Amino acid sequence: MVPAGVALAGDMLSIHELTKRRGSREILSGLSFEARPGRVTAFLGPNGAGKTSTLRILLGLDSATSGTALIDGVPFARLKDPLTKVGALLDGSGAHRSRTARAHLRWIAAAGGIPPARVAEVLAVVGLTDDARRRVRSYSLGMSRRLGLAAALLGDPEILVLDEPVNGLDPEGIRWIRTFLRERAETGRTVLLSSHFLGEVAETVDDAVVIHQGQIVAQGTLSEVVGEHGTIEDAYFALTGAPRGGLR
Amino acid sequence: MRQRSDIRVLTDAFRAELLKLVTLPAIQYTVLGIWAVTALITVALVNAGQDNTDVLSGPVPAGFVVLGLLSMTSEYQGGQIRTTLVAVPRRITAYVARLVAIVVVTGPVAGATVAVNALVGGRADGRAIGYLTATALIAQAVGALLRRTVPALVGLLTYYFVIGPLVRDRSFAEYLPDGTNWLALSVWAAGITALALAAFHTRDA
Repeated sequence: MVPAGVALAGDMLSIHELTKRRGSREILSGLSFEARPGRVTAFLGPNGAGKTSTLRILLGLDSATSGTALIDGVPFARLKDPLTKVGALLDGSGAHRSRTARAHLRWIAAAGGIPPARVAEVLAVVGLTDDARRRVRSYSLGMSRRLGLAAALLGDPEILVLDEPVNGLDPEGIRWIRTFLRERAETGRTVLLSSHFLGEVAETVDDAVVIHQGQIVAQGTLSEVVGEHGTIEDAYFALTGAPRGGLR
Repeated sequence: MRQRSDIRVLTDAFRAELLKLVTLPAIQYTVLGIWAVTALITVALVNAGQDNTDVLSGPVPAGFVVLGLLSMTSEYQGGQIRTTLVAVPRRITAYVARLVAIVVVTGPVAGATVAVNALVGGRADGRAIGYLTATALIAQAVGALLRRTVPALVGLLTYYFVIGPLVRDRSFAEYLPDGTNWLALSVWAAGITALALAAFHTRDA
């Protein structure tokens, strides 16, 4: 693990005063935080807190009402080689159900100017080599997530942005992704993962940002966020006021 | 790593769009269906002693409506649009690449359709290639605006098979999107594409 505050050559994600309004509803209210190279940053909050909205703005899918979300100082939409800079996993597989996994990854590689040989490599990394010619509609939830992750890894990116990466994975898959993300961070890369599922977070992350109703309620290193609450779980419930029974 | 040039970014995006079109089973079936229907109806028209090129302005355009529409609405199935925009974040580049890809696919498909019609029926109508391609482009733009297959398909087919035929004898009919005036057809295709591009550029994905 790289200690906090050490500047690395890797790439930083910085969100500054981000606000998003849909109609009269304010979904995000002045969010500011960073995800630094060499560290795994968890973006925590209950469902509907604004995690996905923040990540969508960061990836240029939605526009912000005000504020900025920058990748190494540049908005995502201005990146020329986005796949080598940022690998992204949002919910589902991001693939059309009637395409094969291989065809799906091939067009993404083509779009990113990535050699087609890389497709077989990422399929092997996520353990889908034997299912590569099957149509995505026949995939289990866990396999769909692995395919989404394979797409994120195509460009061997400096930064990974993962929305609920352990959702739908079996215990073996969860264990695998934990190790994988730690390894990415240890080679100086930036990992930002969102989660409403607390179990897997504590062992994997260095930093935590807790969001509740569109506002950040705590951020810092994991131990700073846990503070006097005892465990990350206690801290989470105290900070978000979420009902205890409502979460796994 | 060396950065790609703007031209390279666009040609890479175009290759990706082409791959998407040819690997989508619904597109493959639609193309085969267009050719089968063309051959069958051409035989029926010839046997009935009618003009074999009638099929090119009858049921065949529906197939090209489906082609154009699917090229856009398939993006909104399985969340593929997010994958597209993460790989090609510049919206105009992403849209133009898809526009060129549908022209590159529908042009030859329309050419082969006209050829099938001419070979089976005897008479050739080369202008139909332009008409069918323009129809696919209009459908693509409608698909980009509505983003959902079923409402867009119902709307387009209602126009082409109910409203269009109803007003066919009116004086303005030749200037409509299914009319015979080339300039008007080009303006319709360009106009609705510009509208769709503007929407794609500004809307949240």
